[in-house]
Amino acid sequence: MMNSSTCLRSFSQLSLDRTAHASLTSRTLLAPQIACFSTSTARYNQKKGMAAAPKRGTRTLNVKKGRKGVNYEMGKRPAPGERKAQRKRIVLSNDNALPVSWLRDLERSNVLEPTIEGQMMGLPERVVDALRAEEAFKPTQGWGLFRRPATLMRKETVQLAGLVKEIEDANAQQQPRTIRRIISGDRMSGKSTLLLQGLAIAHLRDWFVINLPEANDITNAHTDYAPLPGSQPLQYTQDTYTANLLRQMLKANPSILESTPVVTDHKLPFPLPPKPTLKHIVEHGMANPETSWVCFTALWEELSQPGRPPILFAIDSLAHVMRNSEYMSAEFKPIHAFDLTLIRLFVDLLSGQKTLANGGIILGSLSQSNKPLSVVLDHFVTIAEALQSQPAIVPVWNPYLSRDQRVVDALRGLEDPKQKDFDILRLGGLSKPEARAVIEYYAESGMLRHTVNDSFVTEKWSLAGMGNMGELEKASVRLRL
Amino acid sequence: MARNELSRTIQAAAECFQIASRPRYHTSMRCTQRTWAPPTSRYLSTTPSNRVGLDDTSELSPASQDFEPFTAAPPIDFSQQKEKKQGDALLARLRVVPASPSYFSAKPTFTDDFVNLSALLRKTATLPTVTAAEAPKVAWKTIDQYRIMTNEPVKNQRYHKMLHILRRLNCIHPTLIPEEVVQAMKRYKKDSQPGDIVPPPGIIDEWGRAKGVGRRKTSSAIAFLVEGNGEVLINGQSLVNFFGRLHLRESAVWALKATNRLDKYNLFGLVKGGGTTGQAEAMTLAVAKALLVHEPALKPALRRGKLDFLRSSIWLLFFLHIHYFPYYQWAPLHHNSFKAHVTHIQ
Amino acid sequence: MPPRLNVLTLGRSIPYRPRPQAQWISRPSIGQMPPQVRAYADSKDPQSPAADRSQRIDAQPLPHVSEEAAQTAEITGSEGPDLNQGTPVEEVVKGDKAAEEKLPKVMQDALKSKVNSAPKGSRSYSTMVTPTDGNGEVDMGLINVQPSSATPAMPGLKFEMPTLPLPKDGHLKHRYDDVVEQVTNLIMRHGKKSAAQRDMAMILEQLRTSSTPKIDPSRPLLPGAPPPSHLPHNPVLYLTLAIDSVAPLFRIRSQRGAAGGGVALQMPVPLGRRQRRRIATQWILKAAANKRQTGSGRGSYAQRVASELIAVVEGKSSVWERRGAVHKLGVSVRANIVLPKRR
Repeated sequence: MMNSSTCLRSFSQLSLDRTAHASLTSRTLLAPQIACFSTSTARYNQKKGMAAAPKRGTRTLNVKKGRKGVNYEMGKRPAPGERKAQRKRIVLSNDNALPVSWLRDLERSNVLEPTIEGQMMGLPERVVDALRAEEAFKPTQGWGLFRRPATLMRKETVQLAGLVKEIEDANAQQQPRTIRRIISGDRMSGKSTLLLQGLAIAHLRDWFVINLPEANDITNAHTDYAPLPGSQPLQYTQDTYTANLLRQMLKANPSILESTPVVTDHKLPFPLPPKPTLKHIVEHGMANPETSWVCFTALWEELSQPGRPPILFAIDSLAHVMRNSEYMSAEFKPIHAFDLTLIRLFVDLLSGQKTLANGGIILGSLSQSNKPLSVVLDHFVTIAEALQSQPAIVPVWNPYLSRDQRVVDALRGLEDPKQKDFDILRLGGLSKPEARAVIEYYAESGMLRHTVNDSFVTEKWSLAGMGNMGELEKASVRLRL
Repeated sequence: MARNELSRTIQAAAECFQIASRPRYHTSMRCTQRTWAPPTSRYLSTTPSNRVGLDDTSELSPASQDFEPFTAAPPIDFSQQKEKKQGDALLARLRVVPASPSYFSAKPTFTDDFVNLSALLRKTATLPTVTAAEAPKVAWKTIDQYRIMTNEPVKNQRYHKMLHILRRLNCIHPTLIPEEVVQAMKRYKKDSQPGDIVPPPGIIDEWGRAKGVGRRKTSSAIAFLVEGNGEVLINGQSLVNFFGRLHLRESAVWALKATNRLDKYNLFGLVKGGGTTGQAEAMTLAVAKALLVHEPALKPALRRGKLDFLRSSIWLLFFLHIHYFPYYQWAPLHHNSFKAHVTHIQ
Repeated sequence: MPPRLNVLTLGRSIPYRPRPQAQWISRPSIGQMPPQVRAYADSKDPQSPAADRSQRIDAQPLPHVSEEAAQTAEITGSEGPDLNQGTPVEEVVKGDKAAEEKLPKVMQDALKSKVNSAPKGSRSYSTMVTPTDGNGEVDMGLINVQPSSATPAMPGLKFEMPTLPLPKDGHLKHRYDDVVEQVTNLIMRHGKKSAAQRDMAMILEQLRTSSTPKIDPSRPLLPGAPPPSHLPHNPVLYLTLAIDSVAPLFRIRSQRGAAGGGVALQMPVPLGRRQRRRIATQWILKAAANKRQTGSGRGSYAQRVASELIAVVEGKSSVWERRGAVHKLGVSVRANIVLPKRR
């Protein structure tokens, strides 16, 4: 999440003086440095005599029958930003939970073993820090109930680990591959958690990891944007967002960035220290948002040099990028999300237009709860699911629906059964042994007070809609009254 | 002479009891009885005999009359007697005392009924009883139905007093209840009794499915239950997708959950109408019914009330040939002799 | 023919009461539930609840006769009675002539009749009220569902019969704990039970993840309460304890005209368990509503209620003062109670 949200630059400036954006320097001159985006400040800065919202607990002119006009909640208002911080707070441990004696940690050596399938595995400290920096943990997930983060190595996780292994094998043979996967599944079936597991595996295997934690935050026009000079068609950079992303990348991959020297000359608009490492580029981008995109492209080129680690590039709630963003162009037309530079990079990689020079995985996860309508994405996902389960019956496109041709071009690979590199990863329910492993972990943590036996496991499994992971957690731990 | 008269009265009463289909008022003049009494009319009863409503229905054409026709007893005109002098002479020394307390009331049917039932209860008071919960379930006529039948403005409280007697009579042990009581109670029962309509027993079809139907509020649900491993689909969707609330999910499969059978069956449900709560609870009933088709012996577990549970558990014990309660051991054995004894008392 | 049955014996009606089929096995889901009644004098007891009197040896109940026999047998090295089965009274009094004479007639007859016959079979269930495990310890509240061994060969059953009667939460309408249900209903506004249940679940989750409460010795919880470190592991018990500890024992009823001169006469009226809980819950919810709202979204109300509950257990809540005020007033107006004269 953007820590400091900066106001959308005044649009009139953008439209009146387009030449002003010809160079970076002029952009920095134009840009107002600080403008708070919080909507709650206006209320606090109000002058006297202006029409303000009535204070809580005071009598208003609400003469509706049956109400006294007095609010029942008499508490003070929280400070600006406090509520959001509370809402986004991520707790990863519960001191009351009992430590699970038999819990093993994921390690570099065992993470690619197929034998760990169906076991609960703890996440090591280093990975937890990296994942926290990348905002891979979501507040809705039940991390805060247990002593320390641990995940179930389900069947799909092992599949993902298999892909990681394939990439590493291909790299060993000097034939780098880019595998692209879209994670689909029911609501609460664990898509974001699988993404997190993929990130954890990549961290453990010392890959370079880039995670866009929530696509909605990129396209919902809450951060500033500016046209990228010299791009054809016109693209837009998001400087603050990119700077923050660089910060997250630095926190998540400190060792790679510190140890890798810069080998090519990127003609950066700022001087680099002698013997520069990638960390220097990233730090400059963090500190100066106006150069963040330049730094990001320089970093990307560096990572594409031979001998660099493979890359895992992941995004959550993919549907938000498969449509127009909330940003507006100078002609007051909506900007397609593909015209945002970060998303352009991701979509090019996903569609296969670009490949990763050192191999890697492009991972996108769908969301069922915060999901804008994207008929094309839905269509291609159902096609890919059908190809996996019953290739004889593949749905056809409804010709009466209008479709976004750019999205179609990006996702065309899903239709092609021969393209093994681009596919979906369908998340089903847990199997009963997997459910049993999870429930035993719950019981061992002291969060579930019940003897774990077959009938109990099956009961929860059925109530969770045949092993839906999130519902299983709800049914056995969170919603037990 | 007085002794004579008395014996004649008794004789008449006895004849009344044996021959007449219904009790009549009688005097010493038996010969005139027929002219006084049209067959469909109601009279005072002079004996506490078993007067049953059945006779009335045989005499009436049921289509034409909802209630029993009633005419008051005509006054006894002693001057119309054949031997007038003798009549006058009789009247001079004989006082006619009605046997029934309802003689002087304009509408005596209820009082008659009440008196008869009281007498019946007095007679059968010594028979062994079961508790009210164990007694066979009977739907008695409502007071409105009884008023229509008798065409009398019966008071609520009085009717309930009569019902009290009836319930007590109904508590006589079912194996020992005299035929007389059974016949007497028939008059006060509704036409259709609980348990009259027996639903056809459920069947398991060739695919091993049992079907159950349930309704609640405005929802209706159909459940198909097969032996399986705990998979549930409702309207083709998984339980989670169909019922968002855990509470409703639990409700829908409660019958299976409460009997530890959630892992033993697969459920396919079809629900329509109403809201989510109604749909889930309609499904509860549907699943329970379908489960009973598979396992009828689960009835006590699925039953709501405790009393019913006890009763059916007794049948369960019978099923198992376990005689926990010794009463059942001797009751069938001594049944005949007991019957004989009861008739002897009569 | 004389009747084979004596008429006189049938003179009274025979009530037909079948023996219940199975014994009610009480589920210790709230095995640590503290007693609901607290002597008024106990409230000033400066002892911390952890050092309650239930630990004293004189407070502990005598063991069951079978347990006693088993312990004796263990000491002597012989084989004692099976603890899973209760000991029939006949066996307890066996050899004790004086006790045998005082037995009911039926049992005396039964004893005489089977003096030489061995018992036909052993009971498959225990008659003990307190469920014990192997160590003789009281179950701490972990629910044990014991898989029953063999499928009974019963017609009309495909799988094993569930234990009847079903456990207390086996009923569709009573599936949740009593206190939880009551508090949920008190949280509910405008008939939105689903939202209230969600709030309740979040409150319990907050209690579960909160740190161990520090008990204020001047505001003791109910006697017999578990140590505070156990509370977050059992949030329902946490909730119950908080509510029951702060619940008032009575309410003050104002009777108009009884004092004369238009002054209402106040008198304390004792409350039932449910009433006490209701009043305590309402106090707590009101106090929570007046708290400062820190977060936003669904969890904020639950968070405030949970923190109020924790404050109650820690003795910091203002609800305690309310309870104290009611009790103080109750003591002062208890003279107004008019008791019926004893004959």
